[in-house]
Amino acid sequence: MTPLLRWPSRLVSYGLFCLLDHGFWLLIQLLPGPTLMGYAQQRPWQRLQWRLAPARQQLWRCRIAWLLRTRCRRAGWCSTCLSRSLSGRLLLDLIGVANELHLGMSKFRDGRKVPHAWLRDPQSGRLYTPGLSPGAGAPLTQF
Amino acid sequence: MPLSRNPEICAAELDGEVCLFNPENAEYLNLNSTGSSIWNLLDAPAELDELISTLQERYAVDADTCRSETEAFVAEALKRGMLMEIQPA
Repeated sequence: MTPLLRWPSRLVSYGLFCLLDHGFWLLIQLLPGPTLMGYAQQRPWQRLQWRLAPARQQLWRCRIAWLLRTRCRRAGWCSTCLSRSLSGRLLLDLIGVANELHLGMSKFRDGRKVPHAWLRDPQSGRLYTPGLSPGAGAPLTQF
Repeated sequence: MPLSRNPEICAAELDGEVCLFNPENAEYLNLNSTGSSIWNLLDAPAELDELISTLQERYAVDADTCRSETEAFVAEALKRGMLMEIQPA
C-alpha cells in the first residue's frame, strides 16, 4: 500500500499544518466572537475550492485526517480544539469534502466544565478530531 | 413583561446543570443550580413574579433571597441575550 505521505513531505506538511493551527489560534484570540462565528459558519474560503477527481479527493481527505489525528495527539502550545477543528475544516472545504463542526461542553474528572469543539464527517459519522467522552459532555450545536 | 428563552440559544444539560451557547457571539455560559432551575421553568414564557412564586413553592427558600437571586439572574441573562422579554402585540 502506498503511504499517504512519504517522510520528507510528511514532516513538511505537518509543519505547515502546525502553522495553520497556530494561525487559527491567533485569530481566535484576536477576532471578536461574532466575526469568528460568522467565518466558521459561512466559510468564505469555499470560493477557493479545488476541483479534484474522486480518487484524488479521497487521498487528500485521508492525508488531512492523518494530519488532524497527529496534531491532536501532539498539540500543546498555542493550539486548542477549536483551532485544530477550524484548520481541518478549512483544508477539507478546500478539497470539497463535507464536514461538520460541533460545539459542546465537556466535563473533566475534577468536575470542571469547558467548551469543546470537534470535527466530524457527516456521511460516515467518523470523527476527525476527538469528540466528547460518553457521559462526560453535552453537544450544544453544529454547523 | 413576560420572559422567554431566546430561541437562538443552544442549551444542553450536563450533570443537572444547564450549559448555554450563544451562536451569535460565540459565548458559552454554565448556569449554576439557580440559573438552571430558572432556565428550565422558562420552558414556556412566564412573568418574573410568576417565576419567583414557582421557585419559592418548589424550593425551601425565603422570599427575599429568591427574589434577589432571580432578579440578578434574569438581569444578567437579558444582558447576555440568553433570555428575552416578549413585547405585547
